[in-house]
Amino acid sequence: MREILKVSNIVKRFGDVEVLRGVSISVSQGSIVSLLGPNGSGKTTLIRIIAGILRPSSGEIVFRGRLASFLPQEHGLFEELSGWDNIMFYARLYELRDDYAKRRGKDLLERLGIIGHANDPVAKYSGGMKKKLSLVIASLPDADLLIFDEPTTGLDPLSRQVVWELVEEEKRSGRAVLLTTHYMEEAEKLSDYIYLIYKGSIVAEGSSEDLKKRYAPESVVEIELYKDISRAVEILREEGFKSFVENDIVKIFSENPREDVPKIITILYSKDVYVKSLKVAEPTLEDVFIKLTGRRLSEE
Amino acid sequence: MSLQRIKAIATADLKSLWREKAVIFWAVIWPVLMVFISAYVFVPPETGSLKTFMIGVVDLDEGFGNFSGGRLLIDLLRNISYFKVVIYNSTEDLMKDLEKAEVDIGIVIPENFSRNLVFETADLYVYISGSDPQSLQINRGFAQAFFYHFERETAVEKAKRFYNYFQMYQKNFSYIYIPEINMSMSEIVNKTLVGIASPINIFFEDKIPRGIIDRSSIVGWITIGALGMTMLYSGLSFGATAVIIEKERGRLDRMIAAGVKAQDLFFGKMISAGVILLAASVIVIIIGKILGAKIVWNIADFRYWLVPLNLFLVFLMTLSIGFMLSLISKSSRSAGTLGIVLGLLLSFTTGIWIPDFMLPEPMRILAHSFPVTWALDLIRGIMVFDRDINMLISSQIKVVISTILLMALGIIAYRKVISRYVEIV
Repeated sequence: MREILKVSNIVKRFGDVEVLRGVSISVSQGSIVSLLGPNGSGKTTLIRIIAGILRPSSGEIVFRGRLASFLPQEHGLFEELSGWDNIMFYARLYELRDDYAKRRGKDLLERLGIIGHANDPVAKYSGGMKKKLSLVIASLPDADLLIFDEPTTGLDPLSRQVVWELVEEEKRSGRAVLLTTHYMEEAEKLSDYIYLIYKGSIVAEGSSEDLKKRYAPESVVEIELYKDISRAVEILREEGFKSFVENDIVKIFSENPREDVPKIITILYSKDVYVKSLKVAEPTLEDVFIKLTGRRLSEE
Repeated sequence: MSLQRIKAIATADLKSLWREKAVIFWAVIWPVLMVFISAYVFVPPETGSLKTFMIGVVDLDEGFGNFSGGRLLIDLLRNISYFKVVIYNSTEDLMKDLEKAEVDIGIVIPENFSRNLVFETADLYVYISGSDPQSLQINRGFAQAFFYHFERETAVEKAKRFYNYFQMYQKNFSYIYIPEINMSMSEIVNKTLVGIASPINIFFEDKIPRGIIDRSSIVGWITIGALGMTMLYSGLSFGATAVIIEKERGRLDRMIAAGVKAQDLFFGKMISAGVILLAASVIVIIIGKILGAKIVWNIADFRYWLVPLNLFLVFLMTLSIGFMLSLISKSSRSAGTLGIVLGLLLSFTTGIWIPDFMLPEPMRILAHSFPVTWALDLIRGIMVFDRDINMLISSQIKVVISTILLMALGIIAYRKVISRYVEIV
């Protein structure tokens, strides 16, 4: 596949603070590439540099396409105007023909399920509807590269699914999509290639499977307890297990679950901590990220 | 620079601004209210017309022979157009109405007034009323002026009567001729007596600056003031918020990513603000005209074409100052508030809303050095006071130079603000 975007050794400083530290990424035509990282990792700064809003302190960007379209995190809509007015405003900024913009806009509005509200003022829209309208606008131009900054933040699971379908459709039509996200399952489901970004550096890259294979432990032991969750994590850490809590579930990395599971249960019982249920799960990208950085994606 | 993008930005911004209640209030409703209130409260419809004085008279004089001094006085009062004379039967009734300020000046003509007027010194009782110190002062002034006139008329009348007696009983003496002055003794006595009664003829003539005194001119002045005030705070506010609001609402990134350049945004914003202020100006002028403002427009006269030019220059100046304000503003809310507050403050202190002669000295200095006031005074000079082009030309040059300087500073400020958020424009 033809490489459409090549970003090499981008460094970005704001005063004395180095926000990006030599980031390099590549995006090919007809692929979805994700920048996965927690808030404040430098994803948005990188994407704003690629979109031509910020100037890098050093490094090079080569874009081999005609047009790139950008979906910012903030909706960027005129609240007092209708959905249609907003669509036509941005269509004119992209210098699209009115008839094309109307046709394409109508199609996208229908697919995202907000055509019935197109003539309402945006001020009356819910957060999810604004996000969808924003996505319609970003998908309007016939761009070679779609740059989406957190496209599903603030959407309900059903709407998220609709957006994912739209992104995959864009890919099938031969466009390249570069998206940032802090949702592990979004990156995992959509991406052909993932860059894990942390504190302004790419800490790992590859397909979801590659990353898990290379960086994640074989398994994650997930334990549900009756009580004493924090105490259990402490006990297990004292015994040398890498453990953490997620949604009231104690998770423990294990290279060898056959040996580790009985050991874990014994240790906990000996300290009067009783197990309600236990599951050995496949590792996720979240686990990869924790393994590499020692912190979770959703942590601030 | 892309005309299509400029048009898109101007159109969307205009629609958006037009639907914001605060913009409509400040750009249209507020100035209309100010003109309306000023025209009816501070310059009520009777302003500039002469006051009618209510004169109450009690005539107790019974006359002397066929002469009635009281009747003479009342006739004289009635001959004056701005006196309305009401005759009272008793002094008590007159006093009651004076106390209620229903009568401005009360006159009691006592008994034997006619006789004393002819032979001695007559007494006359004058009472001044007034609902406030200022009207009391005015009423007293008018009463004194009238009685000064009445005294002279009476003195001349007495001199004439004396001369008639003199001629009647001193015939021989009257025919003595005095060659040094080429007059008879009779003529000398006549002229001397009249001269004593009325030693100086003073000729008063009103010389009023053209166009300043009547109500229509005052309302015209106020209308242009309201226009200037609106342009000042709206221009400051639009300029101060132009970039910040786009950043805050997330549109700036999107516009730049879509290929919009700094100059596209600049001209787009300028056009939308300009259209709103043009509409506001037309509305304010129409309201002013309806309320009786003297605002003249003559398409064939070159001077009148300086009016739209100066309105445009005022707009550019205020927008430029607004761009400079955005340098110190952290949010669109603070920028907008700063624009409106500073705009109102400047309107009241630089001779835009309050005439400079009413301002204290330090503010007068500010008024005389503020280019927006120069431009508005030029507009007033043309539309309200019908001034000659020679009186306007030096101010016009100053206004053009100031606008160029302020625009240059405004553009520098605009670029600095936009580069705060977007590094590639």
